[in-house]
Amino acid sequence: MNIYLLILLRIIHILSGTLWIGAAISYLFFFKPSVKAIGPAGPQFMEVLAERRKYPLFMMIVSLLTVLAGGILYLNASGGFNLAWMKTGPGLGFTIGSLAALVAFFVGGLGIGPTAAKMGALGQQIGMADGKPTPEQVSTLQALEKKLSRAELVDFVALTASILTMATARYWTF
Amino acid sequence: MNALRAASLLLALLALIAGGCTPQPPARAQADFDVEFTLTTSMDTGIMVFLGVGGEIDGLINPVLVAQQGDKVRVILLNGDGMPHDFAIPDLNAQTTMVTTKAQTAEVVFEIGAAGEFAYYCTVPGHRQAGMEGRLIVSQP
Repeated sequence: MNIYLLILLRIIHILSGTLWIGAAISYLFFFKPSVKAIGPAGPQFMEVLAERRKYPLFMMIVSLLTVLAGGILYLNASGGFNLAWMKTGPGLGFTIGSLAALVAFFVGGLGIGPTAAKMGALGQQIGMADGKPTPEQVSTLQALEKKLSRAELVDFVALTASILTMATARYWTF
Repeated sequence: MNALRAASLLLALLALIAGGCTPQPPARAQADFDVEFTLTTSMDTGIMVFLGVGGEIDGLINPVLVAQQGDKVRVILLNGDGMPHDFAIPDLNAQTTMVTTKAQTAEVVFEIGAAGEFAYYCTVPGHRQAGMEGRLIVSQP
């Protein structure tokens, strides 16, 4: 692979990855607790975040770019999934990091995104009625919230594991 | 007599000048290196290796390179598999640039200051552990 293409892929991969985990941490540790704290204005904030700022779309784009660029880089580094390389320290490190990132990607795409969308839709339904949720809607919201929190935690742990292994893999000398 | 003397002196002078103008044999051109090795990268064996090209190391996997103390060594690295590789002997401060495409070459010329055994390998993460390592043996002259 051409060296300039390699450099470009690394830039895309590292930049997108940084934005991905940065956005995830910002949401988990800053936005979400703040939304809970501001009470009634919370749903409005979330709506602006999702609909006007396009936060879910942003997350989808940066995670996809990270995974795609990373996939090509991994294919190149491993010589087409050469087992001898994959069994080395760096090979294991990059493999674990890649798998962790894939977990985060799919949990985000198949878990967080759809659950958040359902919560958003339910929130809209409640808003369009008289603003007071029915007991059933409260129960559904709580269940969705629990599911979302679990998915977000798994996502965060997977992303962190990916970053830590990727950052140190070249030094795994065994 | 004067004429004869003059002629003799002139002849002697001409002989001296002619002797001074005789072209000296050309100085021997200094070689840029004393020893040269060509290695190609390969994954044909299932593991990552260097393969010797030409000379006594032709076809050998991670060949033992032999040189003498004081030699100037030239190593040419040829990319044979399309993956990023380089060639380095850190103990001798020798390292090629990276070759990333098939058939791309890089070279390094270095002088060996001391006798001993030195490891050469590819510095791309995981490649040394995957098999891209050999030895350079330097003997005393």
